[in-house]
Amino acid sequence: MSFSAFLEGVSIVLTFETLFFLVLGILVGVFIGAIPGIGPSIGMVLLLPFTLLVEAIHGIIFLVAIFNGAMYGSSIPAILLNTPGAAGSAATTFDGYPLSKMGESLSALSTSAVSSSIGGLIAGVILLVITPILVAIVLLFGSPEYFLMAFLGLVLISVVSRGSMIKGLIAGGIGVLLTTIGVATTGATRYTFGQISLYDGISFIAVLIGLFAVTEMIKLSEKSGSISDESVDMTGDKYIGFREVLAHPVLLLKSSLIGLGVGSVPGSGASVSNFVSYSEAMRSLPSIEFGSGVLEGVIAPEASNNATVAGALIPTLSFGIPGSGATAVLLGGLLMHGIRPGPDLFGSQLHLSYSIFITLLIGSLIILIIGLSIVTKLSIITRIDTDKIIPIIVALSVLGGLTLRNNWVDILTVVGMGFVGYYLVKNDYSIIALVLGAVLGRTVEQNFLRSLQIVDGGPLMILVSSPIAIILTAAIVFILVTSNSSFIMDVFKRFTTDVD
Amino acid sequence: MKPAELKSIDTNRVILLTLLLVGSWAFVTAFKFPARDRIYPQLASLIVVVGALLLLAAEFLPDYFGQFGGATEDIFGTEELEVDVDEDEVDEVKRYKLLVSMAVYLIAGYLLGLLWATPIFVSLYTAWTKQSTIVIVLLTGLSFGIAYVFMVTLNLSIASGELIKGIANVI
Repeated sequence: MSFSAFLEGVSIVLTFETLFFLVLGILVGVFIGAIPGIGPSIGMVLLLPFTLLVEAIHGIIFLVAIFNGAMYGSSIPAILLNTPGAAGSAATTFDGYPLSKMGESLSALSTSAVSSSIGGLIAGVILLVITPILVAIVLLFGSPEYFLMAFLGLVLISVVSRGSMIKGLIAGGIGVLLTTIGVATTGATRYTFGQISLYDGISFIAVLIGLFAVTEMIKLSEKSGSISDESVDMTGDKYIGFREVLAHPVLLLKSSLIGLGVGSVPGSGASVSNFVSYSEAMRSLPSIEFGSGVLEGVIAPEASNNATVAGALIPTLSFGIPGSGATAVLLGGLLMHGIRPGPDLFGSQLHLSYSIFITLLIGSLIILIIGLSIVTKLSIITRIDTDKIIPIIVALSVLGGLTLRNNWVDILTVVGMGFVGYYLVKNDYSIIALVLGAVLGRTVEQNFLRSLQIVDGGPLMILVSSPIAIILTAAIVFILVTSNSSFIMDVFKRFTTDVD
Repeated sequence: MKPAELKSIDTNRVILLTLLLVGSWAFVTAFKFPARDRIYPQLASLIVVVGALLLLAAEFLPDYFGQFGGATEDIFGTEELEVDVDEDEVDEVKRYKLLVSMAVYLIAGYLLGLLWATPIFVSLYTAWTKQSTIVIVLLTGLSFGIAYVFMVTLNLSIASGELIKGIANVI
């Protein structure tokens, strides 16, 4: 079944239409990623409503391509201006910018393109190889297991994201509460205040647009406008990237595996993987002076952040748990097109999953071609003044909100969540946890109610209804306990001291 | 305590009190729903209420309970490397201009239609943030074009708002 689905996936990808959306997505992604403060999530969420105009698979591939392209694009301002286009390239500034100041900007940019490409290729191949294993695991999951998996994802995100775990859980709770507005399964209305316009509930896409686009624009408006007032000298060896990257196969492989592994942990994403791979490179190559402008300091983070794209797809497509903000938008896109992660994507529509994974491979090659062919022209993107972009993105967000259901509830949701998101972010609440709650809320409730029907003995028996459920429950408890281990040890020590 | 710390504490406290109120209201209101529809919203609102109470009470609890609301462990061991990219100076006036412009956008959109409100918003914000005339004109034109494309390709009815419809009815 897997091999025929794989062949079907290949046949879907190798069509003019699919390749068109793939190339377009990569180009859009590189452009969006190169503008500091924008990032892949904003680009994906603003273009999400437009994917309704095309076939589902083309829309999904377009979104994945934007994600992939933006991971590379964000290295451009990181290298040229010491300002990462997105958090996934923050570690690239440590050596990329010094290289640029030494007159080696082209060397750094080409190394980034080659690393991103090969890192993405390695992770994509591994993903294709492990897909049959994922299929076997996913098919073991039923409603109780999906419910527990969603809760595990929420706990993981609360722990992995910076800030207090309680704030993460609160944010997740807010997201879930939002999804309870509207008509429930029995036909009763919840929290609608008698308004017919609220019967369909709050659109989670509108929540995503508000949190990712409007919140970011409010934050961006507080900062100074232009990132670069003058042109950057593009000098160095454009082709050194191949030589240097291929001269470090172990570093490349390790960084790709780190990106794949970290990316598969919900809530971590490229913002974490690039630092993990950089610090691992520093540890394993002690003779190299990282931070002074060495190409190894570009290879490690750039290979890992593109590999993270593949990693983030694992929990997203298998269990519907987004690995990052961008995959949360991707998940929204899947649900919008009526595609259920898990049972659909690893069951009857396995060919769709394969086509997505294959586009990662082809997308990585396209990144290499685009990166090397236009590398000398890339500095122009960094001169875009963000003050000019802010009103356009706000307008796109409002109009995009209206496209969802042609009603003002969605516009007010977009703007309202933009304000709420801004103040939550300022006070260290996890936006990803809120997004997860908002995206998964309805699905989790359906799984929860179905579990109550399937499992005898009440809600608590869901936690131990199968071996997998027991493992998931144990994982949740383990994470909750160990994430606050220092607090628990302190309490224990004080208690035993007091007793003594 | 520095003014910046006071400000952030107050905002956080306001958020927590709001969450406590909203969560409590949601929990109590859920009792009106049928039993099957009640469990889930009550579970979610309980998480919000208990979490907000814990954080509000944290500063009044003994030290070892107070830290419960603090940051979690650095799982990947990278906090030393990570630099807070948001450490730039904050221009609150610019933020205020955006928020006011957005409010005008929504009101104008409701009354006149988003097709006309969009260029009004963009021209207001860009003029208020002292962009050059050519930039204001170009961006205003671009925004009108974007709204027009949305209207035509996605079939949105944004060419008129409640005010225009009201006037049309009277006439």
